[in-house]
Amino acid sequence: MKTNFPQRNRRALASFRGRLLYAALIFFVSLFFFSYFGGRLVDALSPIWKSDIYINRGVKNIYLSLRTKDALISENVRLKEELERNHDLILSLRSIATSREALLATYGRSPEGIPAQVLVRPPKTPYDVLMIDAGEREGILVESRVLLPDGPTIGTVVEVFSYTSRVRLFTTSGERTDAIFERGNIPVELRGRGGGNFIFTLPRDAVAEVGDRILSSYTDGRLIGVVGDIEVTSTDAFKTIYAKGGGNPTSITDVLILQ
Amino acid sequence: MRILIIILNFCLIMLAPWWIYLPALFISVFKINFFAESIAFGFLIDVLYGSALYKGSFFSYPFALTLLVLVLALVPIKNHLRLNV
Repeated sequence: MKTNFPQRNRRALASFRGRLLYAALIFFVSLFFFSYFGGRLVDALSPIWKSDIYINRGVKNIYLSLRTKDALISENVRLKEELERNHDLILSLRSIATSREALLATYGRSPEGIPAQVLVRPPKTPYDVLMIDAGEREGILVESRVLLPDGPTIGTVVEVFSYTSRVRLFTTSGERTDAIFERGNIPVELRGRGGGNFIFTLPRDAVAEVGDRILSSYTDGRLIGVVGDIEVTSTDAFKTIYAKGGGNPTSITDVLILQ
Repeated sequence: MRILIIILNFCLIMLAPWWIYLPALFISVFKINFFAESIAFGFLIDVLYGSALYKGSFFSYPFALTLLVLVLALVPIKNHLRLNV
């Protein structure tokens, strides 16, 4: 029987099949390798991130040492003024911290956490995810809460490797977190939008203002975020609240992990 | 050339922000003839920087899957485009 397909198409089809097999081979070999050795690979590659941090720090120090004397004097004056302005605030925060520690002690919980350095953060990761330099060896557990050193809760540990861990921030796109809207103590569900932002809804009648705080639903009631914008249309039964997370994911350098 | 681009992509993935290494990887896929090695880079990005939001499901490796589809889709398409190196 005479075929209608020209020889050229048959060769192209055979070539496509060969390429399909090659791509499938790479896919499945990689899938096997990265599924079983992904954790070890992360640990093995972490020195590259560490050296990147040290190089960046070194470059920054060189830049700082090259700054002019006048610039340093003016910065010194500015920082002194800022310290004066913040003096009362520091005193009030210290009393809050003391009372919080007393409250935690009554529940038998320690305010101490395991400190860790952030190896990878956005924009190196396309998601709101951090890689930290503490892992199984330091006693990090999956689902441990992650805080900024100055207090706010920012996420949870989702994967633990030998020397490193992966932290997913509450602001990761698709992440849902239960929290308390401080004004009125309303329970809310925060939905991460990426880039250090949340979104959530409140009943139309609930009072909300820019700057209102959103707290963790845990007993310590740590800060999770702050309201940045409110959107409500005349026909909606709910108002949409846009909030910023406790810290800017692109500038987080150190964290504390609570067990 | 191919090996050089593989090394370059690896260095970018390790050190550069995502808005540099992802476009570089996608451009490499378009420019290099049947760049199937990019699938392994997709896995590398997912393992190093993934959110682990869908861990254990089909979507655990979104970049690897995207690159697999892209690499295969480009085979019949690229013959009609003037993108080859």
